[in-house]
Amino acid sequence: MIGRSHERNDGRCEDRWSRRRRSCGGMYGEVVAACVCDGAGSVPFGDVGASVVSSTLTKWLVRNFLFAHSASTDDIKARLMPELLSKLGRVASGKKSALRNFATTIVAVAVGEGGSGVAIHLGDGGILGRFGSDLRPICTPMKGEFANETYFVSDRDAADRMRILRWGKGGVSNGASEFETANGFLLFSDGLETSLLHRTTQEVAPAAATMLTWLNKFPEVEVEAAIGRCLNDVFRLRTMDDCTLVLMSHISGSTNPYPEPRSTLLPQATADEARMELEPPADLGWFQ
Amino acid sequence: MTTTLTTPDLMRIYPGDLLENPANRVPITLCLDVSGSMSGEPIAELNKGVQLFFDALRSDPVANASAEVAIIAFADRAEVMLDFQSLDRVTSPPVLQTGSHVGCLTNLGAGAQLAMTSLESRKQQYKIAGVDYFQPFMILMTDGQPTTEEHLTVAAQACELEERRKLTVIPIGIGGAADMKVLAMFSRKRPPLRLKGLQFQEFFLWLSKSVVRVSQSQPGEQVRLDPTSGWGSI
Repeated sequence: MIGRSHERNDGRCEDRWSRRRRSCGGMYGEVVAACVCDGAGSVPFGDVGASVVSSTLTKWLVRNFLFAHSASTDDIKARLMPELLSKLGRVASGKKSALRNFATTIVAVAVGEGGSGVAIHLGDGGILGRFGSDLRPICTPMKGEFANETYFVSDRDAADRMRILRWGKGGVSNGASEFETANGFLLFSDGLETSLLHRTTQEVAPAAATMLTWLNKFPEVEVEAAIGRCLNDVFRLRTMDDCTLVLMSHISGSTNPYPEPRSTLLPQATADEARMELEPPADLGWFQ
Repeated sequence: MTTTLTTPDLMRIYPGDLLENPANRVPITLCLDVSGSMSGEPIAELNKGVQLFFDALRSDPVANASAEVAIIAFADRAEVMLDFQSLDRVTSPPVLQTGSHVGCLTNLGAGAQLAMTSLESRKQQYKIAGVDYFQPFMILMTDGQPTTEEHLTVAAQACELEERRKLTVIPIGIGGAADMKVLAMFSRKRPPLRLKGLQFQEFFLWLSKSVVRVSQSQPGEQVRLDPTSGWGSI
C-alpha cells in the first residue's frame, strides 16, 4: 500500500513482495518462501530494486533451502549476496544507472515441512513469529540513530549487517531452536512498525495475532481483501511510509503445513458474514 | 465460527502523548542573541522572522507533525524561552526583548551550551518514548563579539558532534560587527554566513524549507539544503 508521502510526491510505492513454493523432497518436503523488500525512497529505482531482490531471493530460498538451512552464515552470504547483486547489476546496467540507485531492504522467511526454517533480514522492516498463540518479534527493524538511517543490500557492508536465522531439524540452529514450534509468521515493511510493535516495549499489537488467525478461518481471497482494508483504512493513516504485510500461517490438520491458498469462494451468505467479521476495527494497532 | 476482532481486550492501547503523534521528529534549537546591541529594529525583525518560521512549518502537514522548535535567548546568561514541544501546542512563539533579565552582554558560549544540552535532553526523551528523530539543527545567531571565553569549549563540542554527523550547525552573523571568526569555530562543514541587512524573514523561510525537506527525507537520503545567497553571504 503506497504511503501518503509518496502519494503526494510522485505516486510511486517502493515496497514489493514475493512468495514461492517448491518441493524439495527429503525431510524438508515442500518449502514455502516469502519476502518483503522496501526500496529506498531517496534513489530513483528503489522500487525496481525491491522487485528484483524480493523475486530473486524467494526463488533462491526455495531452490537452495537445504544449503540455506545447513551451511554456515558466511557461506550463505558468500553465495547469496553475489546472486542478488549480480541480478541487480544486470538491471542497473540495462538502465545505465549505478547499483546504489536500486537500494532496498530485505525481510524474508522460508519454511519447510517439520518446522525447519530460514529467516533473512537486512534493514528496517521486521518479522513476527507465532509460537502457539503467542506472537512475538523474530527480527526487529535495523536502524541507525536517526529516522532516515538504515541498511540496504547495495551498501558496502550489507553482508556484514545481514542477519540470517535458521531453526529446525537437519540444519544449523544458530540460537533460534525455539522457532521450531513456530506455526505462523508475519512479515512487514517499515511503515507498519509503529502500528505492530509497541515503541518502547516492542510488544506486538494484539490485532496482529488476530489477523494471522484469519488465514486459518477464511479463504485467502477474503483475507487478502480484509488485509487491504486494514492497510488502507487504518494503518496507512498512521504513517507517511508505504505499508506491506505478508501473513504465513500453519494450517492444522494439513499434511503440508503451509498448503496452497484456498481460493474457492464461499457461498455468498457465508462470504458476507466473513467480510463483516474481517472488517478492520477502528482501533487497530498500538495507538488511536 | 466467529472471530472476536472488535472486542476491546484485543486492542490494548498504550497511552502517552508521544504516541498520539508518532511522527519522526526534527528538533531545532534557535540560539538567539538578545544583547543590548540587538535593540530596536534588529530585535523587531528577528521576532518577525521567528513568527514566519513557525507559520511556514505549520503550513506543511509533514513538518507540522515533525518539527519541534526550542528558543534559547542569550545575553549575559542564557535562558530557554520556549522548550521543545509539538507545534500544535505553541499558540505563538515568545516575543524576544533586549535589556531583559538575561542582561545586555554577549555570552555566546552559554547560549550554545544551553542549546546543545536542551537538544540532548530532548533526544533522550524521544528514546524513552520510542519516537524516531532526524538529525537535530542548532541555529546560532549573534551580532557581536562574545564577551566571555565560554564559547571556546562549547564550539569544540559542537564541531565534534557535527563531525560524527550528530548535529547540523548553522552559524549566522547579524550586521557588520558580528565576529565571523568566532562563529566559524562552531562548524567545520558550514562556514558562517552574514545576514544581508536584516533579512531575518528570508533566512527563516529558507530554514523552514530545509526543515520540511529533512522531515520528508527517506532512509539513505543525504539531505541537501537550498542555496543561501538570497539572504546570506560568506
